[in-house]
Amino acid sequence: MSSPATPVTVIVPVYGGASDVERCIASVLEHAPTSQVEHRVLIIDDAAPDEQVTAVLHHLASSQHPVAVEVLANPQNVGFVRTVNRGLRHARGDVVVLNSDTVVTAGWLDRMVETTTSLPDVATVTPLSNFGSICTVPPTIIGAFALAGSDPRVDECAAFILEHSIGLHPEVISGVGFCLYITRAALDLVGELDDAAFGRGYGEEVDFCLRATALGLRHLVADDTFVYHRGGGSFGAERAELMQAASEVIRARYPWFRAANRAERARDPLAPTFAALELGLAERREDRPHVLHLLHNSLGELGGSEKHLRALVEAMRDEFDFSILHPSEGGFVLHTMWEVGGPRPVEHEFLLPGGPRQTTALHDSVAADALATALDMFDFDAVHIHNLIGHSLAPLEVLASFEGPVVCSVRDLYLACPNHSLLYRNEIGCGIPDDLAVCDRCLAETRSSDAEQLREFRAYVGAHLDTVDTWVFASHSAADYLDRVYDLDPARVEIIPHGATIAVGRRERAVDEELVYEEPLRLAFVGMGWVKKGLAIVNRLADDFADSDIEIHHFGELKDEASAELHAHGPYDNEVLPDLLRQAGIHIVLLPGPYAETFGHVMTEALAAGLPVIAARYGALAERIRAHGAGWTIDPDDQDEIRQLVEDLDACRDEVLRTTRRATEVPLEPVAATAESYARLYRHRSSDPVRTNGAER
Amino acid sequence: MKGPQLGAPVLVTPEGWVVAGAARTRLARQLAVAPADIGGVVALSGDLPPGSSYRVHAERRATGAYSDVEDVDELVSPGAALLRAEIAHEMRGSLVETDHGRLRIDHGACAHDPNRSPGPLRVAEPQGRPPFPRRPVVLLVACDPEPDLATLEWMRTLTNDLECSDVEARLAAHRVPTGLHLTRPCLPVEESARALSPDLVIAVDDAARANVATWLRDDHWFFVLARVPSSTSILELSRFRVGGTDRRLRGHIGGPVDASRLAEVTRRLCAGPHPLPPGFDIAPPDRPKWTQRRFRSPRKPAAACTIAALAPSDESATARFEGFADHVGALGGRVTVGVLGRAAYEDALHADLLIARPGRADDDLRELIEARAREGLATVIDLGPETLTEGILVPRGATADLIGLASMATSTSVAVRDAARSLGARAQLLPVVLPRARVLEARTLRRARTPSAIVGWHLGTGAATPYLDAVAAALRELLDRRSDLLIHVVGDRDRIAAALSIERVMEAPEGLTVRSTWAANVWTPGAADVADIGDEIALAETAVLGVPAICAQTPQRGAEPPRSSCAVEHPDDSQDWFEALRELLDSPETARERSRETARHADGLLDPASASAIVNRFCGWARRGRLS
Repeated sequence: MSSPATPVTVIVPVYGGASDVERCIASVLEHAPTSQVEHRVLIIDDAAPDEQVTAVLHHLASSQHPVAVEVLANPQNVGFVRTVNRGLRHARGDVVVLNSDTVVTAGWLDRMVETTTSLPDVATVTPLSNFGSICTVPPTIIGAFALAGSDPRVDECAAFILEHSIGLHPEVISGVGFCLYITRAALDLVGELDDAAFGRGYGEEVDFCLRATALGLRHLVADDTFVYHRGGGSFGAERAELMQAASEVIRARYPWFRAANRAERARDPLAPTFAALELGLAERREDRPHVLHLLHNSLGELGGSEKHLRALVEAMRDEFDFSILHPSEGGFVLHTMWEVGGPRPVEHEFLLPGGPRQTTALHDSVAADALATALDMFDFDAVHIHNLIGHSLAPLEVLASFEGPVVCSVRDLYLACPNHSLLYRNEIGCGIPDDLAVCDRCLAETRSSDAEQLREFRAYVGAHLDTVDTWVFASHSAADYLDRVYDLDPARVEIIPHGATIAVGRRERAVDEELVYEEPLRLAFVGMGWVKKGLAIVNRLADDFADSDIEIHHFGELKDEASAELHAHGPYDNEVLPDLLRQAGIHIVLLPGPYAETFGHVMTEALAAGLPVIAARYGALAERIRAHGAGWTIDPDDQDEIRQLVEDLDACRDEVLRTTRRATEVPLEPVAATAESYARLYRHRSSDPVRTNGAER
Repeated sequence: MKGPQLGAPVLVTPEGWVVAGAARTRLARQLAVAPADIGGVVALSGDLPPGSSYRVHAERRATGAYSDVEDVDELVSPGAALLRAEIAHEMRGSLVETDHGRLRIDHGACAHDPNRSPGPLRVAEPQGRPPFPRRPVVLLVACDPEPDLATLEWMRTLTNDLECSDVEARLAAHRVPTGLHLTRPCLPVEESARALSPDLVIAVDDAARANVATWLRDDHWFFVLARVPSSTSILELSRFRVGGTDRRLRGHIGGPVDASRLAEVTRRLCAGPHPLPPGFDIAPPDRPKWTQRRFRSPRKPAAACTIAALAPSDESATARFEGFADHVGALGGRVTVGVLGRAAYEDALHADLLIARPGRADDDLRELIEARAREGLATVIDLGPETLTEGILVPRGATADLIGLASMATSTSVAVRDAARSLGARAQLLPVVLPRARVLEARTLRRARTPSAIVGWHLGTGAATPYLDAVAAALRELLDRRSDLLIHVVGDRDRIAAALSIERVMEAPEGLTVRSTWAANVWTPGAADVADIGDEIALAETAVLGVPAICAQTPQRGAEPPRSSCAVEHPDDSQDWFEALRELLDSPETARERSRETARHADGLLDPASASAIVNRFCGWARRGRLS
């Protein structure tokens, strides 16, 4: 960072439009006394034909002002670019080239200077405007402050932008000429504007910027500063012709510029800023608590976490506003969902700066910056971590200084091991071994990692455990798995079983005894068909029972190889799954994967269909089966035992009947029923005493 | 002797005996299917295998064939009996006596006398583990050759208490404690531990703790609680961090134990983690060559048979069978659809399975069913809504005779299915399945749907609904409000109130294309659960078109409205119908959303994969004989 070269000279070339000129200079002088930047004003009369202009300039030159105002006059009209160059030669420090049909606003110069110091090697800075090429604010803002009308609310708009801007200072290919701050360093390196090629105007600032870029300099936007630009008045009928000529010169000199410009428009570096401003118009109601969710995917995805969070947000929207931060291909997206009085929440998505996400497990600085930016952008009352995949562990560090409650839902065992399935070769459960040599070998095969990295990973999490006020698990089993690795304070652990993400109101309660006793036994493997969820076991069962009456079905997408004996039904819609299972005459849902589930939404769907479940003897599915007697538990490694169980069930339909009856009686609640448990955690302020063990945060 | 009772069967047990749930359910099922002259079904008592419990023993017995029964006039062995309500009975010692009727001894059911001596100590048998694994197995082990009586009593009490807390507890010691036993104790040796493969071991003494670690050294799944001498209750779990010294020891127990809490702790320990590392020397399993595929039907479909379907000359019944035939064909089977008559007779006589819908030629059908039965071939009667008449929930007359003769029936209606079952027939729901080409056509038309101001009103062909006037009033109000609104009527227009006899209310032209233009499908046939087949097919097709249905919430007898439909809570109130329609017609966003939802659910439930599942189920059901 460097200080501005002062005094900063504000160069205002003048040709026509007396009232514009008067208003422009008045605005500069109005805000001069409050500026911390030493500056002066240089007005250059390019032989204005309008006597009124001459009169205005004469008056300015002869009056006292809070900063020095110097008026020069060209003996004859030389055009905009040569006039500017005259000013550049006259100035000593940094300069601002300011069109005479602009109006500057409070703090404009200070913030532009501040922008020049936000990154090294800055050549130019451009503020936001109502008429300023890529720096033009969205139409909604123009409309809201009547900027296109005869009585624009310029100061109000500037105050609004200052309040709602996220201050990203995005980098652009080129500055815009209506108000262009140029550093002395850039002028010294690049030289003057090319008045030979762009004499009367248009395109000269692009040329200057591209020459600066070629020297390694950059161009930023002061996205917290607004300068009004009436615009469109210059050059009258000549305008189109001048623009065409300038365009041809640029194209000839910089053949790559057109494509780069198009790409920049597509990338839209100002999109987050403009989205924040538009959101500012919606005016989030400050009395509503605002919760930030960290998720590994967008809410539109079909995974269990996404569905659960969608349902939770819907259930809590009467009291809370929500925003969701998630990684995407292009970087991190902040998706806001606020209630502002309409029938639906107002939703916006911001692509946060920082570029594509990295896959660093420990501390991804892009992820850290994204979260920090999100926290800067809006006031949040609580943060709820749902899944750190794609975020790295950085949020645990960033949130250490967050003042509100931080809730972490442990939806998988990623925090115990980056190979969060805890499966070796996708098939053998490890249960989190004591011997890290085992992990060393497993991680080398499954994650191209090793025990040393695992040690570092766990040490990092362990050092940041206190960041989280409440660890939420959907089952005791999941808590016990994590408890094996970390010293979780029991007072900070909550067990909140997930509510059902499908409608459970139509749940089948009556057991059809004829189905149980008088039809071939049908077992359905439900969900994604891959090995870690038990497809290999299911395939073997299908093969084993191929010549019997017993049928093995699969509902869901097949990801791995499947037996030809499997009755494969293909993907399904969760909402109608209970109906599908009933229509197909399924007796039992088979979830035999070795993966230690932390809850099991598919099991909930099975229970909603009134069906018992066969699942691994460990993990949340086993916990739920044992708690309600709603199925049977198996050792996923013992195929003989599984086959024997199925044969026994086929022989003993009474057992199927009794267990089915228990399955229909398992209480199921929608996600909405769990909302109050989460609301309690969100409402809990960090200043409240919460620790039952005496320690207070 | 206790006199006859009314209602449910009565379980009669000798004093102090226990009958496990598995045995109770089995007795109930056996009694339900037993001939009328059987007054009750009996579970005899017997020795428990070493290391087993009364419950596990009952479960293992229950896997035996239902046919393993013996009918007797008089019981000579002690046992528990499930008697029909009307049978008077008396206990004479541990023998059940009844006043009349024969008794059926079910060798697949057993009862247990817990006060009887459990028998000599032996090595536990693998049969001691539950055949239906769910309840954890807890093994209490004392290796002291001369355990003191207090310790034995502590073990016996805790074992019994855990049994009552849905845990399979077992006692292994060198002496059998006296008193009540719900399990049979076993010897505390390696063979017992391996046979039972416990989830939790309670090591009563130091020797037990040391031995168990050796006996079960390769076992992945067990944990240990060590007993500590105490006069007060102790149940403490130790922390279980990575790198701990004893991977198996999870805590201590002592003093009087709250069995339900211990059961809870046991269940929690069973849910993991189990930190035994994977065996890296294990070669990848030798698997058959399974193939990558997204979806395909099974190689040997259940429907690989010939089926004849006979319908009376009824267009909608024929359409139902044609949809069915299309999907049986897709699964490799063959269905011929015809009208009962000379041409179809041969096919119908020799097909593996005949599905027939009663109609005018019921005498011919009866003859056909009998002829097929003589050949050992089954017939299914497909029942329509006409099976049940107003207020009468049991089929009568010729239909009832045909159901009795075929003893198998299908219907699209829960009410009709239940009515057929009440006649003793096996009966199953066979929902409407649409031919694949029809689904494809409807989906294609759906893609071209645009917002419209046409409402379809499906009056239906069955019995008139009592709320037609309310629907008509709502539509009248909408017609007054919107001059662009058109009403397409399907069904008997005479039922429509005179107020709707205007130009913009017209008979719906035939075809899916017309229905695809509807903004809503007001569906008011007689009742959703006994709708005519034609009405049901129309509802299904219109749903695939993405046209949201609006119907009464509870049309009749508690039936639910079709999925994705807008359910009108008070069908007698025209305002409810009006609001439901207005929302769809006035808000394009709502209309789009509801159309998407309707299409999504229709795709989920009416697509070819679902239809295949329905057909597969039907074939499996028809193939399987009933429990004798």
